[in-house]
Formats: sequence, structure tokens, C-alpha cells
Amino acid sequence: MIDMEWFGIGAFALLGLSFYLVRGIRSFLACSAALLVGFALSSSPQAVARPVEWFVMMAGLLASALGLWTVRLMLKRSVSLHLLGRIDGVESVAFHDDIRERLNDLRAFHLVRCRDGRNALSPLGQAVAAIVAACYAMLMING
Amino acid sequence: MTQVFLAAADILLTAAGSELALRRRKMQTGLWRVLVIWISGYAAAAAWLVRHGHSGVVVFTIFWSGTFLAWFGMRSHIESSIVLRMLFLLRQRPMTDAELIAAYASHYGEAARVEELHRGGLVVRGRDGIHVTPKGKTVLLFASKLR
Repeated sequence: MIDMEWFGIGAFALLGLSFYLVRGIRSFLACSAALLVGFALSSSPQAVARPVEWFVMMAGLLASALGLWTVRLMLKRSVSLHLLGRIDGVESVAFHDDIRERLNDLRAFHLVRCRDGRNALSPLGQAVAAIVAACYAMLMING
Repeated sequence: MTQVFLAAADILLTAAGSELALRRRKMQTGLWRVLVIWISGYAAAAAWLVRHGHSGVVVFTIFWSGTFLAWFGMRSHIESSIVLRMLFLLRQRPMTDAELIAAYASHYGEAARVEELHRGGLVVRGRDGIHVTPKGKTVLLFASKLR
């Protein structure tokens, strides 16, 4: 194995370790970015000789960071997990409180604007909603 | 470069196969099927690389793992995100908070979620109510360690 592959294995293992150790979403993103930069710098001499392998490995590490970040988000916010915890008696968040919190997210991300007491999609919201509709259709998710 | 195209084609085929395996199931109830498909796809591509004497098995393994994690995260998020579902519902017409919550609850409310947990073997219904199964407790323990 060449050095670049060892660096890649190390970066991948460290991403997994930081996912376990670093619980904050922003902190995890910062750790991931630092690891990717570290990999890019340490493997840069070999990137010139093997650009395709370097690019594929970088893409794999980036995808890993993105995937782990999404999993962390879901673990923290999953309503079904909260519900399961509530049935088990270890959590107390009410189902509707969880749902209501998401309404605040819609406003915070400027995806909706309030008009006559009703929530209407903002231009950004319309664009995202169109992408969501396309994804639902493509992935056969009940729309 | 041929290896890259083959890897990309293999991943696309695996992702398409996962969709067929899920067939309108939620990820939480179809996870094992998906894992079997992704592991099979990886094994087939890695075996091809080794048999043809290519040196990119490590590079491919990292790329494959990353792609699986990203696919899993994005697929689960698109499927279960409440914010995305609300945006989808608001395409029909503007709604008040109460209308939007009611529309969402009628699509995937508490009862539907409990039913999904039941289908996934995470809860059971007894005479005295709903209980979390050992599998459900394992999921909760795992989630609490990673939150």
C-alpha cells in the first residue's frame, strides 16, 4: 500500500472516532473539515502522481463526513426515536411539541413567510419544495 | 479511469437495487435488505478489482463506505424529515400552524409512527398498552450513546 492509502484509512478512522467523541453538530463539522484538510495536505505530494485515486478518496471522505453529519442530525432530532423513548419512559418530549418545533425551523430558514396568519412558501421554500416533490417521486415515497 | 466508471456504475446499480428492495418501506423496517444489497455490491466490485490485479481496493473501499453513509443519511432524511414534508404540504396551499400540523399528523402522525415501530419490531402491543421490545431498547441504547 502507498502512503496516500494509509492516510485515507487514518482519516476515515478518525472521522468515525470524532463522530463517536464529538457530539455537537458544529464541532463535528469543524473536526471533519480539519480531517479533510489534514488528509489533503498530507497526501498532496502523491496527488500529483495519482490524481484520480486522490480525487476518489477525497470524495469518499467528504461523503463519509456528510453521511455521518446527517446521521447525527437524525439521532438528535428523530421524532420516532423520541416517541420510542417516551414509550419506554426515558423521554418526556410530547409528540406535538416535536412537530411544532419544526414550524419554527421553517421560519428560521426563511422557507415560509406568514401571510394573513397563514404560512406560505417563500421563493426559497418553493424551490426546495419542488426538489422535495421530485425526490419523493423518484424514491417512490408516498407523496 | 475504467475502474472509476465501473465503481460509479456499481454504486448507481446498488442504490437503484436498494430502492427496489425498499419498495415503499421505511428505512427503519427495510435496513437489513439494504445492507445486504450494499455489501453484495461492494463484494462484487472488490472481487473484480482483485481478480484483475488492480491496486485500488483501499481507495474503492473508502469511496464505497462514504457513498453508503451519504446515501443512507440523505435517503433517511428525505424520507422522514418533517420540515421537508411540511414544505411539500405547503405546495398545495398556504396553511395556518394548526392546519399544517393537522395535515402532517394525518399523513404521518403518532399512530402511524407507532405502527411503523411495531412493524419494525421495536414495540409490541399488550393488554396493558404498548411496550418497547429488547430490539427497541437496543436501538435506544445505541442512539443514546451516539447523540
